[in-house]
Amino acid sequence: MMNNIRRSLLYVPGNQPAIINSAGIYGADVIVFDLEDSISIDEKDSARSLVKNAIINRNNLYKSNVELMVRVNHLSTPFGAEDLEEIISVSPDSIRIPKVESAEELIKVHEIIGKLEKKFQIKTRITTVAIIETLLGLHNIEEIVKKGLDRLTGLTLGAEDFTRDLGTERSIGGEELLFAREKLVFIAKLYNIDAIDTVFSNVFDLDALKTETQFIKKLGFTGKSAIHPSQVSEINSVFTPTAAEIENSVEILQAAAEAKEKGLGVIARHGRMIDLPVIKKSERIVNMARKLGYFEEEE
Amino acid sequence: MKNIIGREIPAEYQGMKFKPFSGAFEFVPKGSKYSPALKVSKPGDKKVRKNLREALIAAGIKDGSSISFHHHLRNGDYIINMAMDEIASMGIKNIRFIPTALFGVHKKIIEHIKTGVIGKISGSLNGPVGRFVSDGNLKYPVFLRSHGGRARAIESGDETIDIAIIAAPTCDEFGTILSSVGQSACGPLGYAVTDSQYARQVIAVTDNLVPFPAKKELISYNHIDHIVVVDKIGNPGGIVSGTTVVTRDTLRLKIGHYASKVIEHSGLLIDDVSFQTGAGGASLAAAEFVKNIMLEKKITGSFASGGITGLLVDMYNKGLFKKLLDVQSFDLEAVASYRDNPDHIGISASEYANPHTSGCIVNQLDCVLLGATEVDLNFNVNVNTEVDGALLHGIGGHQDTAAGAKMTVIVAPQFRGNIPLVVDDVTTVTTPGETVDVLVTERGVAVNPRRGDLLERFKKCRDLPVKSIEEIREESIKLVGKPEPIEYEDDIIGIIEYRDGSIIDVVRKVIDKKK
Repeated sequence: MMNNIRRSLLYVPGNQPAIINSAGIYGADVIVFDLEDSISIDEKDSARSLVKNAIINRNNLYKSNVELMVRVNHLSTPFGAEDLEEIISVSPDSIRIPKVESAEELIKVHEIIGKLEKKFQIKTRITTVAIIETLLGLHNIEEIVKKGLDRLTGLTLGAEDFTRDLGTERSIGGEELLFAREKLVFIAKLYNIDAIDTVFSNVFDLDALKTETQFIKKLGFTGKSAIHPSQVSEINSVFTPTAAEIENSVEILQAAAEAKEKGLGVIARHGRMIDLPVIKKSERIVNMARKLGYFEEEE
Repeated sequence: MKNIIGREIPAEYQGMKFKPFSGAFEFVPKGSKYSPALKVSKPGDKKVRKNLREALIAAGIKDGSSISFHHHLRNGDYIINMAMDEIASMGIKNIRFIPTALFGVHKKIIEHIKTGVIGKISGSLNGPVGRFVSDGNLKYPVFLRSHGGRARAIESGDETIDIAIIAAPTCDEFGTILSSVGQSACGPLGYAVTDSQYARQVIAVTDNLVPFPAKKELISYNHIDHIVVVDKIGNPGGIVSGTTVVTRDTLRLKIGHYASKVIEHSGLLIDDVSFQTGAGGASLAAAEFVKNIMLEKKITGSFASGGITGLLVDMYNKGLFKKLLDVQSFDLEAVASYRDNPDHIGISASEYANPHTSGCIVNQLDCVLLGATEVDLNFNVNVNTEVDGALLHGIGGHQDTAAGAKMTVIVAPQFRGNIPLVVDDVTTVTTPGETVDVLVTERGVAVNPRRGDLLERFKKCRDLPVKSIEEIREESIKLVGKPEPIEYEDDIIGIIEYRDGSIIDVVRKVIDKKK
């Protein structure tokens, strides 16, 4: 059963069977099979077929709590429609839609997914994540989210294309992405969907990856995409609550429950008042810890 | 007859009588050690010969002689090919060839098998020579022994050596061999020590002759009969690699990570821990992770042993081990450390792993990490034959360290291509399951049911995917299916000796369906 946690989203090229087969061992919450940028035109068909087989064979290849997402090609390309037709037929958990620039575009993809779900009698509703990777997409982001909420569960930033559109280049500090990241997080949080950060390209610099991940977590992102298996544990470590955080959150929720039971209007712990946002944050932490199996022994 | 692990062993084959394997520690030897003939030397005797031919003649080479070599110069070795070419040019036939191991550079040996210069082989085979022998091109089966088993066989007289030819990076005029200095420096000559002590005649071949007396390392002038000087005994580029680098392969890093957690949670990773690992990707990765755990927890180990790498030298330099016990150096860092560091101690193969002595290093080991080609449901391990039945790899110290260490951990990818690691029955048993404790793959950690204590410890760890070996097997079948069984002829091409001299398995010739 998928646990809906999206700390790390590992891109896996759809044309690499060995990587597809081993993708489940690195602890990524989401495996993102790529049919788009990493696949050359002459390998689109074979990649689609390999990804389909991996999804069909998911019980053998991956843990049950791993989300299987597929990044399809844009509908304006010769491959987009066929990607959806083929991939939806095997019921992936989610579709990552590239270069979304308008609500109409997203609605069109959602309609196709809806029809295909009916055609293939898919029982579980397939969700989507929109990639914002152009200035126009960022400009229209709220409209995109507002009109796509029937399936949209997350937003992510495509930084390479976005910086190109911005006429700049990516830097280690990421100043050029600051506005886009803040706007994306703001809209995602406003509409209560996931805010997923772009990939960190230098696969050999895990320290810099960690620094960037800590930074985007502060901004409010809920997860980050990875382009190499070695990045997964670093990303997970940043987004996983520590034992102390979990313990603290459990105590806060206990204090809140006791206060409620006693009919107290004000909740206090160690002489300090606890307000609603703190309780909400504690709930998020405890929920994640539960989904990650931290309380298995107690249960 | 079947041995105790159910392998069919002939009682007799080509006039040789076999003792079936009866358990890792069941066989108790009787009798005495083998004694080579006494020698005499007189004042003024000279050992330096004009060339290799003169040395071979002086050593009494003849048809059927047994000649031993060592493999410390690895893929840079010139001496095996040089000596065998010389022996061939002398018209000598039917040599019993006894190398400690072979590498790709020794492919030329195939020609000497074809022409009958080499009639029998006792020793590890590598890819091309192994393939050639596997195709049934040698009249007699090859004897494969572990490092400790080879030393035992020589010391007991099961394997007698007429002439030991020792590639010597440096040699003084009286025969003292040094291997830490010279253009072909390679670290301690641990595998050649027993040969030097038990061969009837010993020839040192060097490219760095120095005046007597040189400071003795492992091999004494006391055992050297003849010295030959050549331009080069090897290619330094092939003798040692620059630095043994920890893999970037994420799959092997994953295995290494799990293996390090196994060691951490085993209860053995405490002060004075002793540790051995090979230079394979997953093993080295595990060692790197163990290093970090030891640094973090401020653990000071006792010793690291076996083939020494730069990584183990680094661990010593960081204060994580008090001694390095080295039978063979793998890289330049290890060679330099052996030369410069008194705590980096050379040991012989017999000191390292010979079970029929008053003690060997492997018995002092807490933990060893080893590789595998196949592992079966009884934890028996195959490192000798490939999935097609071909005899392509040696035993090394696999049997020895597995038997000696308190915890033996097999680290290997769960698949090589579409070939599963865990099988119902291994193609060939190299190391018995009774000496193997844990299997670590990228997908799971399986504990031998004999080690319920370890299983209990590992089950409590959130970061270890503990499964039964049957579960790993089932998972593998679901993913890649069952490999086709191999069909064999009756002819035996290889005999896998256990370290105590009993026969743990034989390798039969595969039926060639193309014919």
